[in-house]
Amino acid sequence: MMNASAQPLIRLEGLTKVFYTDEVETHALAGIHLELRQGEYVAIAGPSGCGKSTLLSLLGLLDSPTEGGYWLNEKPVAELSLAERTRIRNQEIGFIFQNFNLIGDLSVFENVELPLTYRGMAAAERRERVGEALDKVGMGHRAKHLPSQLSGGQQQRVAVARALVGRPLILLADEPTGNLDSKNGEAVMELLRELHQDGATVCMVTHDTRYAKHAERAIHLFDGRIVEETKAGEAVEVG
Amino acid sequence: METLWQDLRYGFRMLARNPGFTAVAVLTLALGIGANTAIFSVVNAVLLRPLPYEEPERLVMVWNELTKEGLPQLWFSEPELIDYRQRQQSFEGMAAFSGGGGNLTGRGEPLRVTAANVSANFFPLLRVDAFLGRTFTPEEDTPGNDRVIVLEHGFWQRRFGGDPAIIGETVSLSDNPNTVIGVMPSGFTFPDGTVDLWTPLAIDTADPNGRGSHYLRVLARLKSGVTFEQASADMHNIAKQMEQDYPDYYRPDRAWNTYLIPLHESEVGEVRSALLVLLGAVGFVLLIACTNVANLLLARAAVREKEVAIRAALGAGRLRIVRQLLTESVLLALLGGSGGLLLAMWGTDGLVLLSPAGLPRLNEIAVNEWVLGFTLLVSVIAGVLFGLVPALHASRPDLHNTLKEGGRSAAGAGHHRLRGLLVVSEVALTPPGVSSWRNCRPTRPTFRSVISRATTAIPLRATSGRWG
Ligand SMILES: Nc1ncnc2c1ncn2[C@@H]1O[C@H](COP(=O)(O)OP(=O)(O)OP(=O)(O)O)[C@@H](O)[C@H]1O
Ligand SMILES: [Mg+2]
Repeated sequence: MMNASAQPLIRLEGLTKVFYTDEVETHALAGIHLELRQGEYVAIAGPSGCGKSTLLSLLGLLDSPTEGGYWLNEKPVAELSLAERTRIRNQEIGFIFQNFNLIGDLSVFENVELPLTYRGMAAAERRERVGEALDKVGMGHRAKHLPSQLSGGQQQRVAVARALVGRPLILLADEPTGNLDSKNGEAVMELLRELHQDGATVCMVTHDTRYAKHAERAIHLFDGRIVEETKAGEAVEVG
Repeated sequence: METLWQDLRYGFRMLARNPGFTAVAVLTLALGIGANTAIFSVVNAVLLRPLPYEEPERLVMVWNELTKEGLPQLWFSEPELIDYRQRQQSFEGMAAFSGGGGNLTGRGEPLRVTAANVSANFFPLLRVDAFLGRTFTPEEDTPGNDRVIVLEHGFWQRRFGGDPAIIGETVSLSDNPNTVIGVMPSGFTFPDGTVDLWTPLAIDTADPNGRGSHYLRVLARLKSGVTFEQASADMHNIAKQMEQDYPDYYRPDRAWNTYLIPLHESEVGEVRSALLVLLGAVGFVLLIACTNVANLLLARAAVREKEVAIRAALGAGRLRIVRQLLTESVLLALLGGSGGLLLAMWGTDGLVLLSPAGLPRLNEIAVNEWVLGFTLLVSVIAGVLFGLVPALHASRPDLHNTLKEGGRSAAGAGHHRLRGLLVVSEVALTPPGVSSWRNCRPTRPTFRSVISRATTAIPLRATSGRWG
């Protein structure tokens, strides 16, 4: 999968994030260097509070770094306008959250439809794409249900459908199995692996080493720094 | 267009999902918008609608003044009316009228009635025909031939049960037999709503009474092609001639002058500012209602923060989010407006019942298409007004924190305190609102109350009458 000659899909240089709360500075990320290539499946692992979610938020343009550079598809993200950032979140990034983050007042179908709606896609095409995505995650028969009428595992599958329906460049998943039992967790991991095999670029946060093994590459964070990188199971010391 | 439909559908769903919030907001808005609609229906009928006569802008009231004596509003005496009628070139005619009345007997209990004594050209100048029968002929407008009466429509209904056979019947007015010759159309109550019937003025032109007996109000219609200014100049010139022709009476040191007031101005001029103040007051009430609803929305925005953040994360632009939230608030305002309209329909009935004596054009107050348009406009404006701040506020969520597991959802207690305060001030504002409605009366006495004075000779005194 890795192609050395191709430009990286994502490049981070010295990425730093500091949170300021009541005169307390929290250095959530301290100088992250990272490259993700098209078609890669990368896991981000590490103990609680080490900065995994923060990193994924920055990657997903949900937040901005305090310092450092972020190039998405060779474009410096810092120079993007608000509207451009919104467009990229809509078209190039699919986000999967630990707590699903489905909208409770919308049906399963409408939830999955949202990214396409915001893209201005015609209704007929939306219907077709949403149908495909729901079928892919095995939720086609629950299109009219509300999220509250589904189990946790089903909700997360809907969330996965929502993330992939827009055919984004990259899927970002923040502990997608965190709120699921092991059976449902396995099912969602299986889904991500299938998507990856179909060509999707996946970046997943997990602190569960079993799931990290699903990835081709695992990046280990500690205290806001990358301390270790492992490839397909074997451990490799960084720097 | 499709987006609007989606926003509307979602808006309805959100309102249905939160019935408590929706009920409180709609009720608050219904009160605010209803009050505005009710007052506007009065303003519309009284101030904005043209008078219900043909080419009403050409109707004027003619007044005299003695500037140097500080008498700005003088009616006409009989000799003056005769002189001015002969000399003027601006009007199709000058109609005179004065207050009258008496005891009506025949067909039922004797009844004290309010009459207007009018010259024969009074109805033709207003371009109003009888609904049944006819109005007065010039012959009937002479002494000795004037035992005829024309009935006001409502009075005809009340007193005679709307019986058309009343035409030609003789009734007795203050012990004199009078023949009923006509009934006016419904809604025609000139000079004001207190009139029950009309009788001929019947001035004795051969032997008019004293030049100092100013008891006639004069209504005139501009000839086509004659402007208000030209007619005013005409009146001014005649006044100057009068000073020359009757130097003993119109002494230059008294500065006799004659001037015109448009009939509409004359009818409603005195209540205009009171009504506008009232409209301003209810506008303020609506503003407070909007603030309250805005606070409700702000409190709810905290609850909805997560939803908005999800939408933003999925690629909803700020404008899109603001538009969706605004659609919801305009929807809310339209629901409130519908409620307000219902309240206003009852409310205007109440306003008419509570109305101060002498408020002109009361019978024309109605919730019509103008009022509907006003309500719609006010509702949309209100919706944007109370929706904009919460929408703008909500449209910039902190995505990273809001979307995290257990993202914060705090509703500031400050909102609640502020809201309580606003409700209190709204309640406190209501009594002045009611009393300013009661104050919407002309400063002049009503027709009924000036009858006794008007029917007696008033020697050169500034008596301002209701029919100015
Ligand atoms: N909005 C914020 N304000 C202040 N500090 C924050 C904020 N968000 C995160 N942090 C801090 O930044 C650090 C990294 O947080 P982050 O959520 O990225 O950790 P994490 O690796 O995802 O942990 P977990 O595995 O528990 O989800 C933590 O010390 C956290 O307290
Ligand atoms: Mg986390």
